[in-house]
Amino acid sequence: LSGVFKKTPEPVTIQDNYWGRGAKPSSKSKEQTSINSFTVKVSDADLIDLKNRLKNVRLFEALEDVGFQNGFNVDYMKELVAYWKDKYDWRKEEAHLNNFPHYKTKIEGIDVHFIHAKPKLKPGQTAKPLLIAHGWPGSVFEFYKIIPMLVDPTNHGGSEEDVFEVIAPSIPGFGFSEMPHKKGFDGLAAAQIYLKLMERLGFEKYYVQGGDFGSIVTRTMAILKPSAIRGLHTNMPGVEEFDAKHMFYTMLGSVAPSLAGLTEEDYNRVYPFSGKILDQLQESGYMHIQSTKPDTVGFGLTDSPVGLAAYILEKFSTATNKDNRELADGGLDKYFTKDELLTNVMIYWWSRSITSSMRIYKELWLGRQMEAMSMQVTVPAGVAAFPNEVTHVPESWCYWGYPNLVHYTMMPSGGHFAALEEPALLAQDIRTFVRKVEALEK
Amino acid sequence: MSYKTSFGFASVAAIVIGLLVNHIAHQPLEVPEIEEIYWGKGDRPLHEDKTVRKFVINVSDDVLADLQHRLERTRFPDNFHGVHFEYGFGLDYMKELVSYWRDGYNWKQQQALLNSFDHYKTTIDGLEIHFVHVKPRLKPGQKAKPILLAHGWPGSFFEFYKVIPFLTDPLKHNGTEDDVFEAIVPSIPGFGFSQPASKPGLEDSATAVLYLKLMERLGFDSYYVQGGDHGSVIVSVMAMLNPRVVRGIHLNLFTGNTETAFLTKLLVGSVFPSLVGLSTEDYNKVYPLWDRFLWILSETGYLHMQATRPHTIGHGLVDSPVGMAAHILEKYSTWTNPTFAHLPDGGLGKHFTKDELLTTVMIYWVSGTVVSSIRLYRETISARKFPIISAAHSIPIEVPSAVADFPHEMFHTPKPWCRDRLRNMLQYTTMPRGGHFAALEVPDLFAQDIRDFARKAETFHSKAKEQT
Repeated sequence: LSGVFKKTPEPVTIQDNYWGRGAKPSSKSKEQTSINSFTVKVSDADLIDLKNRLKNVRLFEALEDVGFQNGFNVDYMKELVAYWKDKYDWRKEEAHLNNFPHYKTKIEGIDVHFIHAKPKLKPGQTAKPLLIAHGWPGSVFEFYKIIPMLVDPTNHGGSEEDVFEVIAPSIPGFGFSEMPHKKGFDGLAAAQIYLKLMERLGFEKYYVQGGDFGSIVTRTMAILKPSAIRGLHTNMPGVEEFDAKHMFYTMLGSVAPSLAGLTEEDYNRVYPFSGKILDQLQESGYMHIQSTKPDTVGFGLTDSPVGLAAYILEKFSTATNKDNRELADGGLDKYFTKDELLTNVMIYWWSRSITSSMRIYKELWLGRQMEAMSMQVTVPAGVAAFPNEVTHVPESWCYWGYPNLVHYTMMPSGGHFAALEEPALLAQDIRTFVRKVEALEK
Repeated sequence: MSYKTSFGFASVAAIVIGLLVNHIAHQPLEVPEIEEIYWGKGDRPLHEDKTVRKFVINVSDDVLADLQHRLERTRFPDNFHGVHFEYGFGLDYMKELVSYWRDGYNWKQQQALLNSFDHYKTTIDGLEIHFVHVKPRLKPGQKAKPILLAHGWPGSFFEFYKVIPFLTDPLKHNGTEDDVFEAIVPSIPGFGFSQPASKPGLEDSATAVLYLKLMERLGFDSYYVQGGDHGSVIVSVMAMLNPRVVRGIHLNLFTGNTETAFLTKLLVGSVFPSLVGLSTEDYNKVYPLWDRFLWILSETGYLHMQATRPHTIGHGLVDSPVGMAAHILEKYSTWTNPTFAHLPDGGLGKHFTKDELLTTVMIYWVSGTVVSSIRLYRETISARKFPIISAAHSIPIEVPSAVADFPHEMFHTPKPWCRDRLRNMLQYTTMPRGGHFAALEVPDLFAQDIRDFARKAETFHSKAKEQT
């Protein structure tokens, strides 16, 4: 029935985009294609300014708050600020970040930042190129543990063949990537930039991996240019269009799970559906406000480090495990170190990129991104389904969006920020997926 | 999601929500019990202080110096071309506003203006309730009509600063001697100078109870009430709980009735408007439903956030003056006129002065009450309050009532639909101009409508008295 009403959308194509300030330069002027080394370096003045803001922070009184049910707990924030102000060492974190090779290159008028980690190879050995895509409110920093596992597998539970060359870009408008200066930068625009980046780096065919917005961008890459994508791995597949078919299977699955293609574990992760909807409503205030008024909420988050931390880290709490809402620290100390959490926040702080990062949500609804989300990914695909991910998509339902699904793993533990929380599990799953793809190619 | 499927989903959702609301609301129409709660810290003491004390706003130099320091060091995001207020509060205008706030705005002067009205505080159920109380100068034998003006979010008593003189000094403001009022303008607990609750559960119906107690303490047993935004819910609950004391209720935001009858009318009216009593003009203001729905969706991000995770957004609002200003003043742009989003200053300069806008923000800033104010939304949706709130939206109001329908208000409730709940509606005015913050934007029209209504209500009361 849904097939009767569904119109086949026009295919999406590479556009002639320009995101720089001012008018697009004429086609006669030569495009800058140099790739420049980049070092993360924050000035002393900026560090002093941050410390002053933390010292003079204005907070509010809690109202019998026990956990994170009203949002980020202000009493825990006091603890975090004390650590941030007196113990957190940005220079150490900066050095840590600079352990990875960073670069910038101008694409479509803006500087695109990326980490390019090359493995040490033996003669005759080749590495598999892999683009790994972060989302919101994450950054390339989420991958600081998984990148070594991918480029140095033998030291991290893998074998020699499992060696990758990893490219981890920052989405334009996030972190060290320049923000698009024009309207319209959505997942299609980001996918296009990532495709051009890989082309500029000399890769014709490569693997992609993504979660959150990174999953949207990488699937869009596979739709725009499937010939470039050897395999797509995701830890957050979307059943992108909540259409009649999805609704029907959801209802069927609640009473006859096996008829709807669900395993017992699937059933436990998908239902009770009404509870999940209520949960989504409880947690999606940020999505609603960013999809409509990103510029308004951005002011407080660009001007107050504590405002930024509360807004971003609440997601690290709830999206990691819903039960974290009941905990006084939102479970943050249980799953992450304070350094990890703060360094991710700092990347948004130094770059003043929170507002531009949120605008992507609004752009998603304005262009053709939503249409593109309903298109199928034809390249070989792999899914790592983490138990505490925000939405669970059963294997049989993944085929709707990813008909060439060759790999699906029900992960034993982990939530939304899988690369940061369970890097070994995720790395191993990427390795297994890639091996399957290459076996099928033969 | 495609347009089609999201519409399908939204329709299903709307019907489900409508049925749910109706199911919960469909109890026999009796006034619900409202718990007496002590909102202060700890338990209710044996002896409660019931004195009414004069209050003078006096912000310390420390607070002002700290604010100045923050304004001087404001961090802004980078520029983005091609938008004004379409993505939210405009960056260019915010830079202009912050420059003025930092270098031109004079709080001491504004404070003096605020203090030109008489302020008081009194403790009710453990909370210091702040209110402005302006008594008119009366000739011997002359009587003033008491009126309580109830603000909402993100408003304050300050919204009424121009309306108050119209009401209390009518001769100087195009009115007659009989148009004289005594104005009582309280601040909702947790807003401005009214103390925030120390216990959860304080939303509009609880505020209504506090306002009723306030008026009783001040010695009023028959008075008018006026409200917009949350204020309209508060005064409606007052009229519902104690109709004997509410002489008349004037509303500038009225959402009608949430019962199935209303939802059915809404759906039927989209196809057969005349069947449900709609004029062409009414029709154009209510429909198309899809456009209305989309617009409401685009304007309610703040509501969704505040109703679910107020403390997540709250940290940035209380620590950054520009963060607070953007969050609050964005509403003064779009809710005054939605097309203003396409103007470089969001249309804020058309009807308000920078002083008025900043003083509104300052009331939240100097009192540190922005987070307690947004908690109101979380308290409203809590499950145990739902029966009371749904009753507030469905129990008929029998006391004399009036609706002032401003063209750019967020909801337009057609006159025939008002009568479902406003059983004794003596006046319905289709205003020529004005938006959500009508009292501040068009105080003359606002005050005149109150005067006209009061005259009708007084006639009604005299007639009713004669008949007994």
